[in-house]
Amino acid sequence: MNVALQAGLSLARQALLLAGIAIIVFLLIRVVPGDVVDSMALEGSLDDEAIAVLRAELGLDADALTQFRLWAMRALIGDFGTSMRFDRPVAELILASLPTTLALAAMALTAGLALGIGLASAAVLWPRSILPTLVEGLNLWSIALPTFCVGLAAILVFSVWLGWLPVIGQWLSPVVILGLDIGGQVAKPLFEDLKETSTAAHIRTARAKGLSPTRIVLRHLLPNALTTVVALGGLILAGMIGGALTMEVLFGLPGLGTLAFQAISGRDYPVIQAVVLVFAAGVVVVNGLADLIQRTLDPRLRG
Amino acid sequence: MSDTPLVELRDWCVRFGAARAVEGVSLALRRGETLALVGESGSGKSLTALSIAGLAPPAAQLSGSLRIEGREMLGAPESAWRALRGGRIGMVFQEAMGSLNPAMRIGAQIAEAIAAHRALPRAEIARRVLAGLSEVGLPDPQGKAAAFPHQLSGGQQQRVMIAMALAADPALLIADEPTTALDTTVQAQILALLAALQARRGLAMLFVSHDLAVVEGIAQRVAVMRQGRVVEAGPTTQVFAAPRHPYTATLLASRPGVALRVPLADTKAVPALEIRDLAVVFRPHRLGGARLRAVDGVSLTIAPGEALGLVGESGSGKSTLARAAVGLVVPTQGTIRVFGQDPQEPQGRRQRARLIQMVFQDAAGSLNPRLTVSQILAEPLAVHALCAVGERRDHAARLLAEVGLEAAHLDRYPHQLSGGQRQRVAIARALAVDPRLLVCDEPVSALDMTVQAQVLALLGRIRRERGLALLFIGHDLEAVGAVSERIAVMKDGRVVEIGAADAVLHNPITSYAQALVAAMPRRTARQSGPVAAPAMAHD
Amino acid sequence: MRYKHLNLKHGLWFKRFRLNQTCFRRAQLSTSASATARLPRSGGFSGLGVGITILGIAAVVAVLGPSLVPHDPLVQELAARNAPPDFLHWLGRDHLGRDILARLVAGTRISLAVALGATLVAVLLGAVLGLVAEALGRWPSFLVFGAFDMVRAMPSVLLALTLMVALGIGIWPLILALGVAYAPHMALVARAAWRRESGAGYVAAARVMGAPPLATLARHVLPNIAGALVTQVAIIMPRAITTESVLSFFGLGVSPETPSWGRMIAGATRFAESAPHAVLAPALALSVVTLGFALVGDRLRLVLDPLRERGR
Repeated sequence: MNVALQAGLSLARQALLLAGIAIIVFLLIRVVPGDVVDSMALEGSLDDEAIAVLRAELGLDADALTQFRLWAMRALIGDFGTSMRFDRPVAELILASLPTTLALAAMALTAGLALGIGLASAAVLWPRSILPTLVEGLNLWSIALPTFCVGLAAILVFSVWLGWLPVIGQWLSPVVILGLDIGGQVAKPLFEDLKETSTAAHIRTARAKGLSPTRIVLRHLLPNALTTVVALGGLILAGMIGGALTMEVLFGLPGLGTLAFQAISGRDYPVIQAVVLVFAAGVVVVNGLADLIQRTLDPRLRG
Repeated sequence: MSDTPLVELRDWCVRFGAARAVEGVSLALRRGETLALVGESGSGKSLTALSIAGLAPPAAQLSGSLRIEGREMLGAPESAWRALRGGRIGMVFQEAMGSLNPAMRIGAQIAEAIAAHRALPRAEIARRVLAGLSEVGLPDPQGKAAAFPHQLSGGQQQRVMIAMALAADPALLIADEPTTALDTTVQAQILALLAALQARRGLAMLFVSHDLAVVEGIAQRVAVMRQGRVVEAGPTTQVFAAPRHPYTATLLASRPGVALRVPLADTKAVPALEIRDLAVVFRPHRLGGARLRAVDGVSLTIAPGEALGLVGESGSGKSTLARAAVGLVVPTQGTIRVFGQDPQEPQGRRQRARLIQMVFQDAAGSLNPRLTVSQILAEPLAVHALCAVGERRDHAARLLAEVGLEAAHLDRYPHQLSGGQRQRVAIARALAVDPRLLVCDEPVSALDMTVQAQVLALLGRIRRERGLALLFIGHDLEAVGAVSERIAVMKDGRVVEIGAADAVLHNPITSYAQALVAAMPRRTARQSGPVAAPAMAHD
Repeated sequence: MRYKHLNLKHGLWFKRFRLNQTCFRRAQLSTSASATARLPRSGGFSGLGVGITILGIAAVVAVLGPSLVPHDPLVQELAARNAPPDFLHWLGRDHLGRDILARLVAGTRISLAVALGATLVAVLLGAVLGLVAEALGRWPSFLVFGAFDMVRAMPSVLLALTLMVALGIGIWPLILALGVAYAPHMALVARAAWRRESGAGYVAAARVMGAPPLATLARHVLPNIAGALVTQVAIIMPRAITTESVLSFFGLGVSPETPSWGRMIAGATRFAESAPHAVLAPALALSVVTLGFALVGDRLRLVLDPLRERGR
């Protein structure tokens, strides 16, 4: 199989997964007893006739299949319906929130990967220093401390007690906290992988050729271990979502997390659907990219 | 100063804490000479070779004296070692696949070895890479230089390793079991290549091996190591003709003879195993792809009490045939009869198990690590209700005694046993149901030479005492010939030649069998000149 | 040659699978049974002891529960809202004047019960269904794991969140949602262990010896799969606790008055400035217990996990 065909197959697989997720999300939200109209009616602002009209308008009176078809076709062209709470198109809300979330994710991911890769490489180069212990410690940190607990603590310490500028904290704290979390997740497996690779037979060959340690690390060790990081990419992103959602709410960043928070408390189902779908799509896309990068990095996978 | 040895080890010790891996080894290697370091696993031979290139593990404590080209290298800085490695000392390892960087093109890997030692323009390096690849007999050097390691066969990978080791024109080549992982015919080609290169370049070579037969064809001098010490060293002819140390004698005697064969019984009775037109087809992937005919129309019979040897190189389908015979693989077509019964019948399964048993190559993998030896041996007794629950332990102890182990081993776990002991336990388990036919799938190829000889002798004795029929699979013609009355040669899923063992070993008919026999490393090789080098192009 | 190729592919797949595992558990990856893996880890700090102590205390508190504290976790005393710690109320009161220590103790039981229940659901739904499908043959396995693949493409937090929106709040919906979210992972672990074990030499030997398939399953295959699953339980439980608190933060966990750690944190966040003790107490409890699970799970994996390669 050549690379193009494999990429195509991988793409088709990701598209299929996304379609499946769309169906799951749609069905899940649909089985919720009561829809937006009900929750609005409960607040007493509508009579029976208005309810029926609104239902018809929103297409809520059709059967499940028709509803899904309509919803899916609209979603495909970027129309996720209208938010009842904000009275604006959902797509507009999403587009308005997306940059904040993307920026937060990009900054946290960059910081985390830099920290993780740097720490792991340094720990392999100086195995007798404190660095390997640091890798262990950072790993335990990210296992044991949920990001939003750290976030709360940071708010208490820096904003409330020390009274530092909340504006800086608004971006700095979430990025640092998420970055530490990602760094801990990356550093340990990468460190283990580097250690394992450094005992591999082909590294012994490289030494037998008389190459310098720097060249061995840069040319033979890191490229082979980077596949580890790439393979982790999608999963790290998936793991980060919970953290990113809460971070935004805690630090008052107007991103998708805050949007989801408001939508959930307001039972604004079109928005919830759309937010979940956007996140899922992001993860699926990143997974697909990671798969592709891995194939280019490791010639054996190209078959 | 021309008689300064290239490498001189004096009182060389390698220790790991209290454990002594190499103890007081003194060796000298002169220019243009080949010294073979022979020993079984754990003898310290590889560690000695690695430490000569400064590649001993960081935890190793070294002492003694190591002089390379007259210069003391014990405690030398890493930079001095770097200049030597690759530049003066080239190395070839056992597993070529793992020893090449999987994510780097072959040409780049060789170029890197040159660039580390010679300041040359790019074009010149590229020219030398291609010249090196063609020197080791690889067709299409350009194509090979652009390939990744996994795109080459095992023999080609080892040729690349040799080209890489010689790229910067070293004076010494250290070859650590360079042919152990290869098929017999490929092994012969690589050995011939090494001998030719050594002669042409005037290389000194340190050849590490466990296989005496291989060593005899290639080395002028040999040093036999055991438990970290050199027990005997001297010119190859002398050591082989008149070994002074008893261990060397044991090693030499461990090449199996024909004493293990059993005179044939009645061949007209119902055959122990009758295979007719057997084919086994695999699909490599769920979505399809080319079907793999692992076994492709094989017919053979084994008379009761007879031993049939099945030889072939990796991928010839011999293991699949064995697994089909014991019911682990469902045949795509053809019939199998075990003492006239069809094992595929619903009732046949348990009956067949009483008649035919199997011994696997990987003894460690075939014993459940969570069970003790007595539990492992009790399993077949329980499955077939062969004795009362209270007697199982006694029965297990008797089985152990039959395979030469003691009752003390009953409560050990597999990981507490040596490789040879594990294989004995696996044989005891197979014998527990008192089968009439034993299928042995490469039972000794993972073992040391002396242990191989012991296990082969055990199999021969059990056959004699129990009147067992044997299907013995192996790639080592000598071992297979030692226990079998008849030999079948397999290639690409078919039996290409079958006949009496002596006929196949000494007068093979088909060209493939001839090539196999010619490639067999034999102690007679020196009398009949250097090992013949068959065509190099297709390995 | 073609065999070798297949093995290589499988090996790489396996390596990637293990990497996925690693990230999921965020714990130590030990890819080979090299000498270092078998040696006791250097460094005087005994992670296992600390972990067991933490989990032991948490288990005792969860079992004995409210009888440990002389206050009712549900009684509100609005006059004493956000009161700081004093002699009677060691950890102070929350924003509704409820005793925080009492709620913390009651919350231990609820949080651990939710995590345990969710893990059990994940094992039953994922591992059992996955194993049965795998045992039934190619097509059932293809269908079941295709479905699991789809569910798995969605991050577990999102899946649990969506499920909670659909099911409504409460303990049982929460257990179900978390269980479903982690089921595909359990299924994958179980399948990998199953494939590894059913391909083992001793299973082949048992077949050759004519042992009944079910006996072979019980004797050779299941014990090792159980080892893998127990390890995963120690990894999934802390994840469930954390996810529960994230869900609570979004108002989707147990009902608001039920004292779970997540609910306590979520409820007190708005008053973090005036009553930091109300946030810190449950957040600290949560972190310490997750740490305990992490320390124990790490060691457990070294002892039990058959996915580690065995030394030959």
